[in-house]
Amino acid sequence: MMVRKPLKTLTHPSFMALLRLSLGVVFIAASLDKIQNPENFAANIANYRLMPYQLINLVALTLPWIEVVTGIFLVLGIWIRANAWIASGMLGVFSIAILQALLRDLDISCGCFSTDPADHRMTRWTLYWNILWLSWGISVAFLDQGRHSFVEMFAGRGKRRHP
Amino acid sequence: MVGCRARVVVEAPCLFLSVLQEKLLPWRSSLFPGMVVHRFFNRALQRAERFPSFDAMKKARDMILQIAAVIAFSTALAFIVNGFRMEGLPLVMPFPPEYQCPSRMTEGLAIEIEEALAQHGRGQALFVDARSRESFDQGHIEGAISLTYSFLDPVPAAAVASLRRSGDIMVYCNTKHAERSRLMAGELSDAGLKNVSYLVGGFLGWVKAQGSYTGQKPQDYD
Repeated sequence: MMVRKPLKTLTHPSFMALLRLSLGVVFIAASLDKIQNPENFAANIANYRLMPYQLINLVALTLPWIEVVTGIFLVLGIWIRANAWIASGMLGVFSIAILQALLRDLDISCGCFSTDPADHRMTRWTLYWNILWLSWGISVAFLDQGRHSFVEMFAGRGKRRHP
Repeated sequence: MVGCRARVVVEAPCLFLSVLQEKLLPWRSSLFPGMVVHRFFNRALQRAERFPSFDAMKKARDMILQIAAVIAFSTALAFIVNGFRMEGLPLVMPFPPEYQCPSRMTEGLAIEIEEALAQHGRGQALFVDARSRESFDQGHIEGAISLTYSFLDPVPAAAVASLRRSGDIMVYCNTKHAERSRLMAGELSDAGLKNVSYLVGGFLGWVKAQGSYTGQKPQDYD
């Protein structure tokens, strides 16, 4: 039938693995500058005017590390569902933050991939990209079967040694 | 009792999905989105029916533990790295961000005394004394000019304009960590002057390195 083939492709384990790897790489890339410049990232978070100022530094310190660890685990295929849900949760929160910033007409930097205030001014496309990545995260959480992962590789080796 | 509650938690969403599936049946043969959604719910229901409640609860519990472990590990890493940083971020912001300075003050480039001596010998650099006029009159690097740095007021525009005509500019003072000259060099760089640097070691270091000076030699840092 007409619907089956594209749907089968979109839910194919290899395609899911590709989504998982892509999401992991996005998260790792997004975290690097924030880890190196937590002060600037704290300023980015403060610009959203969403949380009490006492919590800003704590979030600025921990969020990039959660991103990088989640990204690495997704790339390696470790605890895929858990990390996909963490990634989806973060992307959901980011999307809400971006949406409220756009609705309030805040002229601020997204802080997504760079902590430089002049980089990545927030637009509708920032929100669209976040929603796209969120859809990847949810797809991986539900449909990824752990193919092409390090866990699968090691499990395969174990089976060969001890059949 | 706990088992019954657990079953309700797991089976209630499945019941909800089955009700939705019945409502979506008319869409099945007509629209592509309807077929996609119907297929999705069908599969979700098939999966939910495959596992008894106990296994599903175990998997949910394991996933929650994994999420907690990732977050705890990442947080620990963040605190450890922040502890090792030279200027670690305080865990609690001490005051609202609108009360903070928008940016750090720019600091100039450092130049070591040996290189400064060489440039002085070739007559290639202009030395600017950032100390008070009184200190300058007591003793200064040979050929230097006096331009007192004030922490409260900017460098006068006329002084900046006259320095634009110079080549390399080396600012010095006589504090242990070159605070005055470092900030003045940064301010001059921000004003658009090129090749501005501050002397590491200050006037005292210059004298100790046998650099030429006039007046009295300093006994110690200010």
